[in-house]
Amino acid sequence: MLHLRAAAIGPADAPILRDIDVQVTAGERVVVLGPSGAGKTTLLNALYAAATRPGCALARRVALIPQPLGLVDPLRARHNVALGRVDRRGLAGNLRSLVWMAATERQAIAAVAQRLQVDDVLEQVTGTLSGGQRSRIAAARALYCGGELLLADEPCAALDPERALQLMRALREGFATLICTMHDVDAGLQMATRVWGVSAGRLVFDLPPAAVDSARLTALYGAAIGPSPPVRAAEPPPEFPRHCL
Amino acid sequence: MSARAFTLGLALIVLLLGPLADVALTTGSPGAELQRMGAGLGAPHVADGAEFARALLLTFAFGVLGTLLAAPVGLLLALLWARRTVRVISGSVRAIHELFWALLLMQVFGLSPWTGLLALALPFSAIFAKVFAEILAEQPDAALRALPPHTAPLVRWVCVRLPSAWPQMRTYLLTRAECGLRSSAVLGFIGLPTLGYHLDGALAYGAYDEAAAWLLGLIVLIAGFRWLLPAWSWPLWLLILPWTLPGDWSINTTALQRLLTEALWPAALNAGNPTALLQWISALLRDAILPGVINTLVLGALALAATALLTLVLWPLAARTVSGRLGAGLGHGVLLVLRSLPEYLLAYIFVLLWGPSMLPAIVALMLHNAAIIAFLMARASDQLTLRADAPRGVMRYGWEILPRLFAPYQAYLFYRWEIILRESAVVGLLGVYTLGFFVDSALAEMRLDHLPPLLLATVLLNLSADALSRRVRRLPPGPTQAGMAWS
Repeated sequence: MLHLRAAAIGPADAPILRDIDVQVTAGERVVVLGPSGAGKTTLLNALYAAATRPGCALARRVALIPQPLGLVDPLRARHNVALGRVDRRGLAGNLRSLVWMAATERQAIAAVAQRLQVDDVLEQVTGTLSGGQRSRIAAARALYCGGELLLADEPCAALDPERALQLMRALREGFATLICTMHDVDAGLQMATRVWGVSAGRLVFDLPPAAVDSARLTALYGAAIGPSPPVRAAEPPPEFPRHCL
Repeated sequence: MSARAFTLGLALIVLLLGPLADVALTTGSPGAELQRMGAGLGAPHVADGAEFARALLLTFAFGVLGTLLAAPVGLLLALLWARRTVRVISGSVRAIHELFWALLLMQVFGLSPWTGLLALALPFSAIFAKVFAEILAEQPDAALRALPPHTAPLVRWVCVRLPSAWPQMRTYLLTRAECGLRSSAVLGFIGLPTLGYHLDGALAYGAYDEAAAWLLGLIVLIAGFRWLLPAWSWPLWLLILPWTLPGDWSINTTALQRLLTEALWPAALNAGNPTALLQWISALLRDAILPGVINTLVLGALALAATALLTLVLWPLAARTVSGRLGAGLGHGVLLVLRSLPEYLLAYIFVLLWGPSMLPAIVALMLHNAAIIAFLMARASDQLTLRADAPRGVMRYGWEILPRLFAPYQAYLFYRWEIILRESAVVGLLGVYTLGFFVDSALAEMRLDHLPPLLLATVLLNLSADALSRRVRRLPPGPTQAGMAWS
């Protein structure tokens, strides 16, 4: 079982989440719904930290698909999938795999990529892939990592409905337990065994999908309309003028 | 810093320091000499083809080897960048110009390949360390977080951090190799068999047609070397190029020992005489360090002001949105030529024309540095999105581009100031009374014990300039910063 309990999560002066007390048991598929900026990603990150803490009984191995995907753009797509298992080898083995990947590893990676229909782009440099291909490569990395639990943050964000369905099916088959934030409410309700509604930094409901009716959803997404928290404008990072050195 | 404070500051520099600077013309007929020089430059002539090719090869070999040897050392130091000692040592090594390193190393290795290689590789390692550390720190850590937990730290570095930073590090290595080629050419002026050696000879004898050929060779080398340096070729060059370097690779350990234990230390210290030591240090301070530091600062400040002005003129010439496609192409050509010619080399030519004073040094530093900043600014202004009905030409520059990009323009000038100071010290070797002049005199009089304090003064000057420019840049930005496009 995975248990997360915290009075506040986020910076001490401006916490993003408050009064969180959730439990996830093996075999559950939790879908986290809520408007943008509600705190879904923060919740997922906190759950990831809790799940990877030594002594977590739910999973010995945890896979993660973060929202920015976490791909290493200059590497080939194949290498990005291989990153799912870099913890299983030492430095020498990993270096070898970067330079010349063994045939067995290639085959294993191709098999995973085939399930997501990205086996044809494995030799391409990841930075050149389209948004949809990138999200599937990130999902392939998680599948290749394997384990009992997957935490995924908007894994279908850049996919058409057909591909999104296919990806969620593959993830369901790949992991016994799943916690996933989603913007597509219908797809989420279809695959979930449990639905969490997050709004304005609080968990507002925790229900089986059948109990999530349109009134609740309107309340959940409608609650975001109103005074929104001040957004700090991100300053563009100054490019370091390296010619100057 | 606001645009007004900045402009006032520059005006104050010129008004207060201008009268202190010695900018006299000391040659009899600079006009006639310029005419002869112009005629020569118009008709470049290669006197000895084999010698020409060999000098170009050696310039390439020293520059590229120095860079390629420094990069891995820099990477190693970048991994240790969290340690203060590593940062301080890198900062100090970087503060000493390649030419000073070469003069110092010459005392140990003579004209062996070690002198040229280490003179480039030592400061370059320190520069790589700083830049690589910054590039690595800039990488987003999403990819690291997506790794399976408990991945070994070294594996994280090798499989994620380094590959993500690789494209930027590769680009920077080539930028640095360009600096390496320039420095390698300049090292010829103190006797290494690179391009500068022959250029020195040609200029000294007034063979301006030959000098023009050497200059063209340098420009072509800098414009085209990237074709010769794809990443896969780096290990090959590392293996091949050492064989092309002439001279004896053996190290004279007696000379090294004598230098480190005796020659670099004041005799009074070796003899244990505190009164004489005090006299030595106060004389050195009064006669060399203080005038050297003051003149270096004056030259650096005036050169900075001149650079700031010339940049404002050169920048619109190379900006496509102001000068149009054709005009900007021409502008970029001019900037490329000015950028390819090292400050020291330009200063050398102007000293020939006008005699040793601050004037040739200011003009040389201004031309080279303004070309670099104007190039960066032109690139930034071409990336601005302007409204369709924005004014055109000079009006567009004055009303749309300059106000939007004034903050990065200031920032580049401050970044560049550190380099201008380093160069101001080194043009002293040409007879301007900056720190380099006193380094040169100490070497000529074989008073090597003067070198450590002089170099220490150079280091302190550069470290404080760096700290000051970082502080000024950190001041709250003026309203001009809004809407500026950096990428």
